[in-house]
Parts: sequence; C-alpha cells; structure tokens
Amino acid sequence: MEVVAFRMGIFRNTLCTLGLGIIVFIALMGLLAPIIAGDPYKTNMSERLKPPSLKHLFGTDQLGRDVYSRIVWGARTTLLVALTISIISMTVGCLLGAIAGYFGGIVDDVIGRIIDTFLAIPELVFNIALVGIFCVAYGTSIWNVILAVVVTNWVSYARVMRSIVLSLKEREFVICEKALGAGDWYILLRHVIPNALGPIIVLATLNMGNVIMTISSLGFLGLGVQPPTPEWGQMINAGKNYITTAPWLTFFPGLFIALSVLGFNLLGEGLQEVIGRKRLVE
Amino acid sequence: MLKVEELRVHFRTEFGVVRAVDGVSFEVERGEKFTLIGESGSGKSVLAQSILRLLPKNAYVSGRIIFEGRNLLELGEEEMRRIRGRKIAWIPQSQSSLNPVLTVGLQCAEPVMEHFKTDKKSALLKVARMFEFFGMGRGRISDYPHQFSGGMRQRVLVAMGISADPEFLIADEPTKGLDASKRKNIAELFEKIDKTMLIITHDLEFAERVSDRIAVMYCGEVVEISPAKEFFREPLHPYSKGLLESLPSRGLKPIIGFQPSMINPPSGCRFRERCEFAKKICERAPPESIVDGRIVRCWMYAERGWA
Repeated sequence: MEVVAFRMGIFRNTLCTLGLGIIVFIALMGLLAPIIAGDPYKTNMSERLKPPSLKHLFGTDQLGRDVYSRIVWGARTTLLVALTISIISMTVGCLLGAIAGYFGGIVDDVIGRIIDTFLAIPELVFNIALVGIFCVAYGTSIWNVILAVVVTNWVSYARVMRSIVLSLKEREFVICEKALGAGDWYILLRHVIPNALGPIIVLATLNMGNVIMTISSLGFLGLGVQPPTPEWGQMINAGKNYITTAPWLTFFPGLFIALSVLGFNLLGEGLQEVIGRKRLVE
Repeated sequence: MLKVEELRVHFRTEFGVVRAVDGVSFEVERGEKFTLIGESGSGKSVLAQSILRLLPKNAYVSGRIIFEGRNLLELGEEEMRRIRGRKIAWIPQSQSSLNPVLTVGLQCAEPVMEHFKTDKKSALLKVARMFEFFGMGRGRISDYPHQFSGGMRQRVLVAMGISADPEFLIADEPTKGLDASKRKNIAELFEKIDKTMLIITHDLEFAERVSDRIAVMYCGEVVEISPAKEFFREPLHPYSKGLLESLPSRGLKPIIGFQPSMINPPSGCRFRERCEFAKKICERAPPESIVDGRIVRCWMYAERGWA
C-alpha cells in the first residue's frame, strides 16, 4: 500500500518526475550503447573534426571518431564509476556514522575527529593528490579514481547518518527493544539503520551529482578514466584545443555532464519534498 | 519477588544534581499488581527504568534492586540483557514505541526468537495466537504500526511485552494518551494478564481498577504504600488525599502550588509547602510510620512529635 502511495508521490512531484526522466534517459543510453551507438574507438583520419551532420550526429573528433558514439559509451563509464563510488562510500559512511552515533563516547570522538579532518581538506585537491599517490603505488587503473573519491565521499554519509542515529537512539522504540533484551548490534542493524534510510536515499541521490562532477573533473585534468576509454570529462580535455574551430567536441560532453548532474539533483530535491511531506502526514 | 532498597537515582546536569529518585524502598510480592502513582516529574518513570538499567549514562544509581536473590545493579550487561524481556519485561508508553518500518508481528516475535531461539515461523504463530487473545485479528500481525489506532497500538505493546513469557512486567503509563473507553479496554486486558506487575501511572481511575497495592510518589520519594482498596477509601498522606480530591469524581479540587524543583528540594517533608496541615515539625524529615500495615511518611502518623 505505502509503496504505491510513495510511487504516486514521486510522480506527482514535478521535480522528481523530471529528474527521474533524465536519469532513466541517460541510464538507457548506457545500457543500450552497443545497439544505439557505433564503435567509439574507430578512428578515421579522412573525417577528422567534421561538424555535426546526419552521418555523425555530434560531429567527429581530432582522430575522426564519432562523438555521438563516444558520448553514449561514456554514459556507461560515468554511471558505472559513479554508482560504484556511491555504493562503497554509502556503505562505509553509513556504518561508521551509525556506530559513532549509536555507541557515542570515545568511538564517537575518534570517528568524529576523522570526519572533521577529512572535511578540513578541500575535496578535489585531496582527490587529485590521492589519485597521484595511487597511480605511483599501484599503476594506472580505474580503481584509483574510485578509491580516491570514496576516501573523501564517505564523510558526508557518515555525518548525516551519525546525526540521524543520535536522534533515533533516543526514540522510545529503541529503548523498548533494549528493555526486551535485544543486543546493541541487533538494534543498530535492524531497528536504527532501516529507519534512517529515507534521508540517506535523498543524500545518495544528491551526492551522485557531485560524484559525477568529481569524476568529470578528474577526467578533465587527465587523472580520471584514461583514453581511449570514452569518458565525458576526458573528452572535454581532449577537445579544448579545438574549442574555437570544433566547439562540438567540448559542447556535447559538457551538455551531458550538466544534464546528468541536473537529473540527480532534481530527483534528490524532489525526493526530499516527497519524503518530507510523508513525514508531515505521519 | 522484586525488592527495591534505598534506591537513589541522581542526574548530574549543568544546573545541579537532579534527585529524581531519592531513597525509595518497596517490595512487590509475587502475583500482585503494584502501582506507582504520582504526578508527572515525580520520578516514577525514572524509577521503573532504573530497574531494567535503561537510564542514560549520566544517571547515578545507588541502593539495591533485588530480583530472584540477585542485585540487578551489580549484574554485567550481558546478564542484564538475558533478564530483560525474558524475566522482566517492559511495556513502554504508547504511540512511538513501535518501530515504524517493521510489521508489528515481527516486532512482537523478536523477544521470542531472541530468548527461546525459536525460528521466525513458530514465533509468529505464537504472536498470532496472542493477538487473537487480545481481541485483534490474527491477520493483523503483518500490518505496520501506523495502520493501528492508539488503543490497538497499546495492546500490541502489551503483546510485545509478554511475548517471551516473562515473570515480571513493568508497564510505564500504559494508558497515556488514550480516551476513556480505550483505557477501560487496557484495564480489562491487564486484569486478564495473570502476572506480577509494576504499573507506573498517573491515571488514578485506571490504578484503582487494576492494582492490588498502591505506592504514591512525590518529588522522588515514596510517601505512602497501601492496599488499593483501603487507599481509595481512605488515603493517609495529605498528598494522597490531595491527589484523590483532585479527581473529577471526587470534587475536582486541585492541590495548591507546584511540585518543587528536584535540584533543591525543600528540607524535611517535601510536601510541606503545599500541605494544609503543615506545622513547624515538618521542617524535619518525617519518619516512616506503619498504620494498620500501611506505610506512610508523614509526621501526622508519627508516634511522637505531632501533637
């Protein structure tokens, strides 16, 4: 019943519907890439830097590759990397935040100080440094980017989770569970965390936008996904030398970065409204 | 069955030490329903929570709470956990004591699974039978808390409390926020439950209906302990009299003044500033007197000093 109500709430909310539409569109692009797009790696030196036409919808780049195909395949890269980062940092952040909030005392102090330390360092600068370190230590790999972003990204989940758990653990049903003989971990995993998921889902959605921005930024700086794998940020970087003569090389990747970030932000804002309104009704 | 001796619960706050419970002693006999009454803030809920050691860490608890020959205040956390729900269960205040994201059946089944190590299916079966006994449909075990009315939620909480078949039940304001007919339902339910109970309430009509003995708490102290019948016929302590007279059915006459702060309670008898009988001697702490087997803490009943 409430699932249906929730779904109706989402679709009645314009922001949600719009955001969800954009995300579904981009996700479908990634999923259907082998069907709807050509080979993103195929170079054609006789057709370099051609403007958008019917044959090449978004034009071609400096190596004569089809920009449209690269954009479509790039959706796959970006979404996969962003999703992996989000899932890992959500798990780590939520768990640490919940532990800090629930047990309090010295555990909270230690985790709290770690969170503060990470918050004090500018995120992107820290990411760049970490990618550098990981590259030197483990060689180039997509996992460098994922790990580097996770290291800074879990903090926001931990902070939000901690504050939710702090208020949840004073709730009567938690005390009641304790009074009926439940252990701390059981209460935490089964009663506290599931009740905190609403705000966490909103945060995760909004955070996806940030993560996509970070991945693209790293890509633009040449630190992210390495060529020739198509990735939007890195495409902008490659196209920036031709920005006056072939602006489609930077315009289309930029457009899709903006679009996907917008999609997640709209959905996040919308969900916040829907979930918030549900709270009020309760 | 449960013996509380000289229990003190103090909270250290930035405004000073709050003496929520200050030297309380009583004994609950096996099979009886013992009710603690008193106005909000008299320390009765804190007292109940201290028995199960559910108080926050800034609470300083001293005295002894003897249950089955063991002092609960000295038990380890793990031993305490085995007692909670299994030996001594807790029926919390209504409404928000159910987890909104789990079905009520599962929540009631949890203590059974935890303490008897039974599987989910048989635990749920037991809960379903209990729901039927409490006048709710068996099918309702798969509903969520928000689908229940306040009165039904309270019945669910009672079911949750007794699901692991405890020997001793503590009910914290079981009629809070319920209307008269729902209170009657809960009273009937409590009469049906054949267990030793400690009931915390400020609902005097409910207390009269279900209890065998009554203890009156005022400002962290127990001022009177009497069998329920005699208490409602003839209360001894001036505060008890005031409480009963403030009932609509007995004249709706409020006690003048407010309950004093628990940080700096008045010396001597804590009720004396509001008491119409107060004399000079009340500035000294009143002794505990026994009148016809009833315990009362007031100079009026002391052997010496009043006249």
